[in-house]
Amino acid sequence: MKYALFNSCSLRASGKDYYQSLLRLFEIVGIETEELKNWICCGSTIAHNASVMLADTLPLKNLAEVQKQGSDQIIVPCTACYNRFKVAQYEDEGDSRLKREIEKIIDHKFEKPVSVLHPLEILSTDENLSKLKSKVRRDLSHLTVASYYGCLLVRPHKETGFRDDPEYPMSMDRILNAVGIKTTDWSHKVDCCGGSLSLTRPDVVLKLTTKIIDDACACGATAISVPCSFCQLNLDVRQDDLNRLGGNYHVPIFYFSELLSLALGVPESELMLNKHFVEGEKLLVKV
Amino acid sequence: MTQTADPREFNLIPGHISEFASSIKALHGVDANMCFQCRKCSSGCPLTEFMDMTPVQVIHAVRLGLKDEVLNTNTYWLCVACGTCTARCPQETGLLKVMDALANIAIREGIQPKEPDIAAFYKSGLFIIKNFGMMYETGVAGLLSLKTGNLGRDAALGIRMLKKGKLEVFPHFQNSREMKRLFKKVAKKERELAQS
Ligand code: SF4
Ligand code: SF4
Repeated sequence: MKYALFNSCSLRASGKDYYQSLLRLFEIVGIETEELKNWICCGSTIAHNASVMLADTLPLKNLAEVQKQGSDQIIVPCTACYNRFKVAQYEDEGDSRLKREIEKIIDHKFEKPVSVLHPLEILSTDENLSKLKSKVRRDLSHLTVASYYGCLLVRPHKETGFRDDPEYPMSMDRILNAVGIKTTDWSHKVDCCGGSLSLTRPDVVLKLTTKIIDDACACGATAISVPCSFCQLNLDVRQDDLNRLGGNYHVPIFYFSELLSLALGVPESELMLNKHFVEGEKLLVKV
Repeated sequence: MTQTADPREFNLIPGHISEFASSIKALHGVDANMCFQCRKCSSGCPLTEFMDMTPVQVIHAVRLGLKDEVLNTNTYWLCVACGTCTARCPQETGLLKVMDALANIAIREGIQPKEPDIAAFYKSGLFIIKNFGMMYETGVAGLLSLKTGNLGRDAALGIRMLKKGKLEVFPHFQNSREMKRLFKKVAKKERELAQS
């Protein structure tokens, strides 16, 4: 069973490292994917400010392409895209007038819905968890990781329907535990990092990210694991800012897919860990 | 929290649903009258300390029909759409959608944004998406610097990201013709709906 894969805007630029590690991971676990060809930007966090109808049309256009490509399932690794796809589907289903209009605009009728999945939802099935367990090649048990899910996957839960608890999700923890990485309990799992204000209100973003990083450290984390390229960049680059202001922050921010790939034996040289601002390589070496 | 306006007398009719709240309900499907002011939305919102009006104040103001007051806050511009308010609201008022509705209305009515940089950022982003078919972060940062004149702030992050190979120097086009066509069709449909 092949999934369509949404290799979208951010995964081609700031999230290249995320995409690279995901592809390696899928290969090892045996998850077959095919890139969505005729895609366009889903409007992300930008379109809904200007027009709710536009914000729903763009994701649904992409989902129509999934069906034209002969699939009914798509993996959407970017959490902002994932959120937009799910919200658009939800709003479309709940409003028959909107549905009619959008189907006319995109020139496609959805006979059945496309199922939109985040990699975390696929990897955390019982079957894939035991596969992961059986393929461990590297001992990373010395790490203590805080799994940071952020906001876009889990909220609003009625709309995203992310297959996990929206206030205290555990899927990323379970996946990391399956390959022998310890995770910590902490209270900022689903708090917002302020990603979309990154350029315009760095003061706000700095405050939000600092709270998240501080709490992770206070709970004993030596690294943070994220499922989102905005979170990765934000938590990573803000430490650079804090250190410029005299702080002392050195918590590597890994994508969960990087940690998994490493545990399954992918060498560092095949990942793009050097794209991170806070250096993580030293931490990976067991002393 | 900054004070927005001096307290004013309002002529309120008990049980009356303001025109503003009704129009938001008709166009965006959110019912401000469901709110019973429990404040869970605002307790969870990560940005209240930076906002002119907290989310609970916004929804109350919408219900009272204080259109100008609400549209002249920075609140809906600062809202990062994290969904906490909506997720935790026991009345399912859908505050996040109220925030979107306010931005939609403000843009349409040409209200001077209280957070001009954020408004300019969204505008630049939309321009890029429309014309390239996909996001081009370097382009957005560039446009934004031109609009706000704040070259230093934006360039600093940009240069660090470029050094890390986290930004594309040149734009790519992704189905941009199709994208422009969709933008046009949606705009046309919205005009029709607004007139009907
Ligand atoms: S959580 Fe809902 S009901 Fe409570 S104050 Fe906020 S909008 Fe009103
Ligand atoms: S969606 Fe906006 S208003 Fe609601 S909690 Fe998040 S930032 Fe606050």
